[in-house]
Amino acid sequence: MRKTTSEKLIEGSLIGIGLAEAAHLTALFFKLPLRICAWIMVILFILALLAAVSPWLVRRITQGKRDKEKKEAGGQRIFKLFRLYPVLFVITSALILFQLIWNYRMQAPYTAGDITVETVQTMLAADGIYTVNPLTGQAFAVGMPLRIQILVLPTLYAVLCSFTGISAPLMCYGIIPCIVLLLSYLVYGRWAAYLFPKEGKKQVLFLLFAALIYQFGCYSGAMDGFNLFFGGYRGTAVRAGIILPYVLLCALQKKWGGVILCLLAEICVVWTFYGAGYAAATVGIVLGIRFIRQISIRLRQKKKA
Amino acid sequence: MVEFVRFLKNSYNSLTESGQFLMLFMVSLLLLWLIKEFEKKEFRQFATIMLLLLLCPVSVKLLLLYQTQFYGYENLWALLPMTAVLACAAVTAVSKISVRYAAERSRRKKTVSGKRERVYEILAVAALVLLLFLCGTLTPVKAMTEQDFDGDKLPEEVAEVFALLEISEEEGVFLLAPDEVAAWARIYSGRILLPYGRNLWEPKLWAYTYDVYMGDMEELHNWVNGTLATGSEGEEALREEEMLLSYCASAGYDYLVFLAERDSGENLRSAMENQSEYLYFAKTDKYVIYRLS
Repeated sequence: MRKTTSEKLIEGSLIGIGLAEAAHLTALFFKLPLRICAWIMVILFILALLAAVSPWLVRRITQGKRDKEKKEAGGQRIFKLFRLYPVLFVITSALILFQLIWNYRMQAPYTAGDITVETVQTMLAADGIYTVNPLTGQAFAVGMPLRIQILVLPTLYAVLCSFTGISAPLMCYGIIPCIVLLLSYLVYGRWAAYLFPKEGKKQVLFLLFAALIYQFGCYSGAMDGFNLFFGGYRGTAVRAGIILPYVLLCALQKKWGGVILCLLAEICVVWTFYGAGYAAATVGIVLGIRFIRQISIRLRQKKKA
Repeated sequence: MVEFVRFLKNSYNSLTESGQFLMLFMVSLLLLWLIKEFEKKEFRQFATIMLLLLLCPVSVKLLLLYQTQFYGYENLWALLPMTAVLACAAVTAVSKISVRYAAERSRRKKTVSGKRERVYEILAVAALVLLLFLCGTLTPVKAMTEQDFDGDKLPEEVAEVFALLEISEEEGVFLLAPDEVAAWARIYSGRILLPYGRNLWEPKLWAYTYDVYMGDMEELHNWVNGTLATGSEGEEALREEEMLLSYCASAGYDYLVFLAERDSGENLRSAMENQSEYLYFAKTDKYVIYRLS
């Protein structure tokens, strides 16, 4: 089955996390400086991009016209939705846009229990990965737990900061949360298509409600909206907003490639060495439901026979 | 057992004391079970089983063991597909209301005008938005909005202090400051070094390091924050202030930052006047900065 553009973007970002993790672990275990890690990351990204684009290029050359027609049909879908339900479409888009602007500019970060930006600044200042204590900037007396050192997000943000010149607080508290929020809406866009196939109006309405649930639901640290609006750069926000809803969707649709990507991405962004991770638990429960249903069907068939 | 039940209660409260989305989730799930035409049965079953697992103390204990008791109960709620279930139920409810309206009109042999149907739909959406609002909040966490943040996402009063420091690009600077300044120092720049990290007053952060601090760091922390209780007065208190200042100078702390009201205290002021290692450097509305001479 061909993947949609949003699926490509979601899975592409999860693959990006995986590639960044590979570069990060190489630099961590070989004690390479951050700038070398950054170049390894860039090379891996370029190679992955080439690997992704080349089949598309080959297809375009061999069956160019047909592909073009398909692309036009895909692009027309959003325009069609806008033409059919302009008010609903505009309200939903405006709300999401407001949240993105709010996330980028107006909200205050929730830093309790988190040292991501300190770690990014330490990496940039020391040009190394966990060479000094991020909390003090001084040399380690004993060290840092390995389960934290293997997490990729601080290194990825440090690389982004060093290439773009954007300050670490702005990158982590402003830009990254916007990207995570946007990807989260792409995931819920896929949920809308799964729950209400070929019902454009319901799909847009679903996204509107998802945006409102995020907006009104950020009253507790355990809510997804809170994680995305006040700590969108954290691994837990990536897990709550992207990985968990996407892994559940993929498991329900039996898209095992997506499931594996999510399981691996979770290991890269949050502490899963304590337990096997939430994505694995989600998939396990879906498989359990399926298993029980199959057994009950068989038992019923036996009874009938 | 009593301890565990108390732990569950506290964690459960953290999710429900400021909003009622959990209750709304249960109502939504009930709605999805009542609708016979709902096709995504597996999704509905998953949401129900997950809810039961998260409410039953035995399964909660098992899930906590699954994550080796590392994360708390409140973290487990991330497993609940809250957004998907609520949004799905809301859309289904809107469509059911408009279908019901059309059926009712045709039963009464009245024509179903598209305009009127749309008005009903809008009313249904508005009612559900109101319900979401009433069960949730518009003021996320009060503590979040108390400070003013600058363009670089740092509290303005604190950023003002950092902007005044002369930070060496090669060696960095050592800073001793009250918690509200020290908390943002390493977020502002990796070249600001601290004698102790945020984990000294934020115990959750001990998970990030195996390093421990000596007792004198605790004393230094309390002193700079103005919470050091020595019980001494007069000459003795002054001598203690002088000793701590001398310790800071010998440890090579480049900048000392105090709250303006603490700086105007008699003992600290006298101690500052009696020594020559630290000189007055700058002042903001809230803080006074001294620099190692």
